[in-house]
Amino acid sequence: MKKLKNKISRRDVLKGAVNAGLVAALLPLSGFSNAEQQRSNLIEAENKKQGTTDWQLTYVKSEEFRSKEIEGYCSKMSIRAGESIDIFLSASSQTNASIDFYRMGYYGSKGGRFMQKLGPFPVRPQVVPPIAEHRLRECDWDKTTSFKIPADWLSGVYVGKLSCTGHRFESYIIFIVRDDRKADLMFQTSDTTWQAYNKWPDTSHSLYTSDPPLQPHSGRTWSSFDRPFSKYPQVVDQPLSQGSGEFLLWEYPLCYWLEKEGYDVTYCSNIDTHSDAKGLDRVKCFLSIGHDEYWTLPMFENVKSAVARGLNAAFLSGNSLMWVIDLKPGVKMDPAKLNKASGLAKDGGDRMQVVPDAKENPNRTIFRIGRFGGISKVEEALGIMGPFARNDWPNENTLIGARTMYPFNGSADWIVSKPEHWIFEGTGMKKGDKIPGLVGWEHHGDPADIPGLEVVAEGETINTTNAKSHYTATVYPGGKGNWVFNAATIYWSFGLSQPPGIIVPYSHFGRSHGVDERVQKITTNFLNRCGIKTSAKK
Amino acid sequence: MKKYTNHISRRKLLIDAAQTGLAAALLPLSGFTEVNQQRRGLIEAENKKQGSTDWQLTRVRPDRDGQRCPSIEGYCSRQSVKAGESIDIMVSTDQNVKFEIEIFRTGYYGGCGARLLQKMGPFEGYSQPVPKPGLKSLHECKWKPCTSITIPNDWLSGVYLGRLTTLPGDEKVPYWQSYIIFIVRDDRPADVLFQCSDNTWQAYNRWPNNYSVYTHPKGGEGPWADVSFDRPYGRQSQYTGVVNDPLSFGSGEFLSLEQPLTYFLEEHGYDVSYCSNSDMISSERGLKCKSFISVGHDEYWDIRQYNSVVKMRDEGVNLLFLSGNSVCWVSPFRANSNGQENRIIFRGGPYGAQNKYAIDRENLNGPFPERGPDEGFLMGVRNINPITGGGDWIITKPEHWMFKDTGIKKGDRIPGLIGWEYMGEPAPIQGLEIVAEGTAWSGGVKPQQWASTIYTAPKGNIVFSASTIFWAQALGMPPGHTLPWSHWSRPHGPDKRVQQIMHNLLRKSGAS
Repeated sequence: MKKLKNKISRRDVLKGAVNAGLVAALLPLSGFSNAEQQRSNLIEAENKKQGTTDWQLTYVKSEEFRSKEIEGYCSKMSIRAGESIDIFLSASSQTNASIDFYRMGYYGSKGGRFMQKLGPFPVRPQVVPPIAEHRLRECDWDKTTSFKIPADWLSGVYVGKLSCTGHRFESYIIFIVRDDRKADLMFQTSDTTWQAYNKWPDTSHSLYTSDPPLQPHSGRTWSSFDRPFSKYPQVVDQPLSQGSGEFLLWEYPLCYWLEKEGYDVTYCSNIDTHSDAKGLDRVKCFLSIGHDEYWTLPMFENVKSAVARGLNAAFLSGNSLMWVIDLKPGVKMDPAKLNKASGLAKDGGDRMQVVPDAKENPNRTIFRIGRFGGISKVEEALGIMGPFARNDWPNENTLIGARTMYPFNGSADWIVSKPEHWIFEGTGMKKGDKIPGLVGWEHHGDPADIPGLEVVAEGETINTTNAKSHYTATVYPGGKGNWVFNAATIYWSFGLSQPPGIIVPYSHFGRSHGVDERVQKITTNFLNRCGIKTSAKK
Repeated sequence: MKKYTNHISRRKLLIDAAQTGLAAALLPLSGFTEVNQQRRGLIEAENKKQGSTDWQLTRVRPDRDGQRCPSIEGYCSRQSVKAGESIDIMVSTDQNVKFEIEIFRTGYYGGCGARLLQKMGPFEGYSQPVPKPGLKSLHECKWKPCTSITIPNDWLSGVYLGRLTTLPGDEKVPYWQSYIIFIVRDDRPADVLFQCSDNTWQAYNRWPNNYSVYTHPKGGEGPWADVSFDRPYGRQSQYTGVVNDPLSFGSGEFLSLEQPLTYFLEEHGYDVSYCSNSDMISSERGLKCKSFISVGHDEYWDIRQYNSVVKMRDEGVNLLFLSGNSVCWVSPFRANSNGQENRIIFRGGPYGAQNKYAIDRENLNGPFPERGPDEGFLMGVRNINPITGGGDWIITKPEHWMFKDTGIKKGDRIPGLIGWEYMGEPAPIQGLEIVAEGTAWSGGVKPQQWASTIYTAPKGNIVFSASTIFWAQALGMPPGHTLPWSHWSRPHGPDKRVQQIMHNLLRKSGAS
């Protein structure tokens, strides 16, 4: 039973807000600049609070990417203050477990702030679910606890560090606290992509495996949010990704930098972009970050129409919007109904029938329904994509400015091709100047035919098989005085900051050098152009 | 072969020195405090110079075995060199392609971590042969040098990286990189002598694929394999199990396990001078310094190194073992086939005198030609079995002066700082104090007791043993640095408490 109570009285909210000094956010705003001042102070004030590096895991045991010793998941990817989230934990043997919540930010370079301890709770081993139809693995664990997000928890990415009395091992749960305030920036976590790559409970339950015949990019496999995040299985061996999706891998350096600079940023999940179109009108600029490969059609349409209305967007990401997914509710499994499939010897053969369970648990299951822009002839010839019922999906470059091109991965220097562009103002960069290794391990090329679109950086990528691809970083005007920037690399955030515990990835024989003042300046220039300044500069 | 000569007149040198505030280094020293002031200025002035994060490797291509990068790789003719002396650089490229060498000094440099000193080349690269295994599996390269550098007088003692980069001359052809590494040493009196653990880098070096002292067919812990410094450093051999850092190609284990200490010491302007393990076969260098540091993974010592450090202690030099698994094996140096000294080592036998662990190792893998003394009477603690694992560094004696201003209480922990090797079983030395101790778990499950100790030597100098390879990880986080993860355990990176402990220890050791 996963019933959430989401009712909070206005009085509760006000009480919480007063406690936290957030009352400004709720009062009628008397003037624009005054309101801006108050908003930006939220992040600035939050980051003045005491930080700690203790948000990091110390003892991480990964077996087949999974942390059997202690692991968990949450009932929702994002949640508002005042709402409740259910937390499901499992341990290898009966133990008591605690959850330490941290908000991720800058906090005087510590990178996280300790918010609250929950527990200890008795935790026991919970059942690894059987493989259902579509290879779905959805946990139906007994709830360990339900937690109402305090009213003074500012929008952000929150990790819960799980620890036990029975052993030393730790892992994370992760969720996003969202809000409804106006803000300058919307930081969207790429959590549908985290889930697409999540192999839990073993090595074969991401969207990249299928029942025979094996097809790494099929529409036949479903993935569920109702399971722990395994350690990320490729590119970088980062124990801190145990349970936290890919946030700490590619997205956190941007969060750390934005909060250090005091930008007025609010956070959301991919799923909020899907289900809350109006939410996008609250901000001046939308951010796609890191590896943002999996979008629903409504996500695309919501962001595209918001851009048409004047929203700025920055794709500080690579391989973005490659796959069209559908978001389905969680499911009910019927053990009485076994689907006797053939040729599935490795996993035992039988598949339990599933019934989508819309009432209880919306947006908990993902699966591919197509390729943005349609599967090209070159891609079709690879024999590893689809088939899908439809191929007439909109081209992602009409939103991003460029798109995922085969070969999909590789590494390269980020090479300036249009130094006179305003985005390079004050960087001192000349044509041909390079930011070493910043492009990887996936990128965007094939710029769209959009009036006013300019290619600001481009070059050749190369991958481990010596196959080459071409990336293009682009900027185009949105038509309402707004702009869309595409950095064309998953690694952009590494040029912005190096938070505690971060690992600079090395893939396709290439790696970036981490923090680079030019990357910081380019990012700042773009945000300035969007009318977004740090609190210090307002 | 290009010869780089760096003849610098004394006049030019003085001008440079005056400009950079280094005059102190050349002038007769008139008094101790003043000297201190001047010496401290050296590192401070050096680190005010313009740094760059562009000392890092961008493109590194290992071969199929994962240990070497034949696209471009190289080595130096010596582990360390003084200003005015020459060092040869040998490079091989599997294709005929031009390449360049950029020489960087590692330090702090406003957070950048290194400074570019010289760009050399382009040189014509060509493939040089992988030697056939010699006696005891020795792989000694006899490559032709591409250049020789005479170290300019204004290159301050430090750990120097040479970044090798192919120059394909076509934007559409990828360039490839790796490092060479050498230490510039000097003879100046210094507050701190930083000894690189390059014997250990070489003991674990598997270049070209499977030829370290751990890979001999007769067994991994015997005296059977010789290893040569006349070959490139391959990738850190335990990259899948300890720290997966591509920057280790060609640079031994310096960047993974030692650079954070360099970064910290130079950030704070400590008067530090650098040397190789091989510079410690006599005590001369060390006796001019107030303190000596063993750092990271410092497992292999020639018996003469041991005797030098004992002598230094007895004559008043402070010893800081900021390392784990230190002084575990006797590794006698010998000359290479050209007669150049200190270019080959092997596992000559255990330290530990008649301790059980030494006898066990002898029985299992011996006979060994050497047996070292009980290292516990030097460091305070000993190598123990098992020696691997991870744990928190737990304070047991918070009232000790070394914890001043840290706010540490008994039982406070530095998460994951113990690993992946450490020491325990404190020696019965009068006045020895255990300042931290606890459990490490080998393989994540098997418990082992480690201890961190400090004692005062007869001249009032201190001997501290941190008892963990990871100590430096808590001091600095240079650009691109990768924290280790081994035995299901990891340290958290820079920690203000450990930094303060370090300041306390250094000040007690006479550094300012």
